Amino acid sequence: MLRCVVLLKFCPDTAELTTDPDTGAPRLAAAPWRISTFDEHALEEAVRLRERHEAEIRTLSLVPESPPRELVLTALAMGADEACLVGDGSAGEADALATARVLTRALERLAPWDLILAGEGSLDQYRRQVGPRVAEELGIPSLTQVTRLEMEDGRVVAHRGLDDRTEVLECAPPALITVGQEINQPRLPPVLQILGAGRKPTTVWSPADLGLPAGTATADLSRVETLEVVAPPGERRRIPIEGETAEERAEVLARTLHREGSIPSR
Amino acid sequence: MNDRTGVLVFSERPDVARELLTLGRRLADDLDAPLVSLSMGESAAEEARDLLSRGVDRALAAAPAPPPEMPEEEAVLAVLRRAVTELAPTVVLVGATVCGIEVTARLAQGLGTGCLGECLDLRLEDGALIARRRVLGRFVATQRLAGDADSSPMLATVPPRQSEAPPCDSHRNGEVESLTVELPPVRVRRVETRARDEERVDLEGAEVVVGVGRGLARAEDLPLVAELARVLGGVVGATRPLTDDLAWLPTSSKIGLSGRTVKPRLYLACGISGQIEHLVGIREAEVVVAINRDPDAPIFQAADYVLVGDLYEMVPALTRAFEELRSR
Repeated sequence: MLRCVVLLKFCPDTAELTTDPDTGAPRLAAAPWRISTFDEHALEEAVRLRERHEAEIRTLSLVPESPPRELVLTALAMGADEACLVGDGSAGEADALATARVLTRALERLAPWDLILAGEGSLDQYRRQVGPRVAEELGIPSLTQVTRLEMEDGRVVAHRGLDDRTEVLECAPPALITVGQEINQPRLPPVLQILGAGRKPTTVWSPADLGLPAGTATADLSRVETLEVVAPPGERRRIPIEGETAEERAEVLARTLHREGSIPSR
Repeated sequence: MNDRTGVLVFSERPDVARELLTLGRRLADDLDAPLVSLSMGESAAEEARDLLSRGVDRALAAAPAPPPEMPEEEAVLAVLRRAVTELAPTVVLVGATVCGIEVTARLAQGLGTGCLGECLDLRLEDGALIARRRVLGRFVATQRLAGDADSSPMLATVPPRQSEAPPCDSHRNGEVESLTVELPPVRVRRVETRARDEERVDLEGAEVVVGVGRGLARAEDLPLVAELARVLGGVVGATRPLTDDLAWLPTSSKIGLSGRTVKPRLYLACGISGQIEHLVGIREAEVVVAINRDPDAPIFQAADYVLVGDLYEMVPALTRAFEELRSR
């Protein structure tokens, strides 16, 4: 039985994020949430493994507040057997160190497992630190940039795609695997399946349930502090290039770019 | 200058290690402490000598070179750990390559500390490191990592191509110091390595980049875009759907959050809708021209020049116009 835990982050959908015109700050409270893109691929990969091996899949998420119910149901409908949530209001401010520590505690409660899968980084922060940090904390191998994952004779076989090479790594489980978008195409479930997933269990823990001192906020464990988040100045000019024909417009643009020095000389 | 190592710089890529020296020197001077470099691999000694000629106060070369069946990350982590233990630096700067990001995160967790990742800029203030990095797509966060009473180093990763390497000065020399590292037993075995023989375009260094997205109907139409790039002396990049899903171009051509970042003088987005994934990769272009049939495409929010139109008309027209300009 292949026991998989997928680290799944629910986060603001950065594609739908607007800026406060006065402060330049992101309007986080107004943004819809989604499952972090790369984590969807991680969950899908667990589901694919289950097509070939007998497996159990649980998701684990650190959430600042109850995530939208339909997102949890989506994860369950995609194929997770159980969703585990660690609820902590400060989770949004937690750095990678703190996040990894709290997730590790939860993973210890979920032990034993063979594979921990995660997206290479989150959609909103994209630090690419939490996965490797969790592996380090658990004392298990960290295999990142995995583009193909197999279990062969009980061993983990991971194909990696790197800038200058591809390689194949293998090790004994348990191991932590991080994936990008190349590994698979997530099959998002139809609405009826999402609604039906409500009968699958969801477990909710507080940090205290995981043995952290009462009143500990995840963010208290952080070492990196975020002082400010703003949209950088210098928004694009958005100048329309008009003209009757494509030729005319092309000429206008070419001349404009040339005049402003945007075309490097050959 | 006190003897305690101020700043340790490292990248498993020698070109990136060289780029870290300017920032490293500034921080080391702020700390009034030495700048130390670390090199590893088969050419460690040679790279260490090069770094000495570019101004580091001490250059370490790790030995032995790791066996090929040991994954690079495992070897790098072991070497970096040993160097940190040996030198007790105040600051460690690591090149933010995929390997560097992973290894520094694991090192940081082992030390129980934080890491400022992919810093756009970095400075010391009252014993803390302050840096800015991109978050939430287009936003920039300012973050702070305090120095530690129990003297864990402050860790930061810095993306490639943010600075120029300082020049070599042959008058500067010194002794390369050997750092003997006991490599851990192989727990993860690398059983196969294959160099990517696909042509890897220099996207990061290009002055002109032409990006192509799903507006292109067929792989066979790529020459249209390639021709525009050629006339401008530029290179072609693409969005995720074209590289990862359709595989019309290798993944090394992907520009975006999970791909490469370009900072050309001129970027032309052809048939690209403008998803966040891609926009993150072109933020640093000086000028962005966008061509798309859909007037509501998000790319137009991120463009300096807006051309609503069919790329099959506009791209050849632009190619002719730039060609004409060139011949004048």
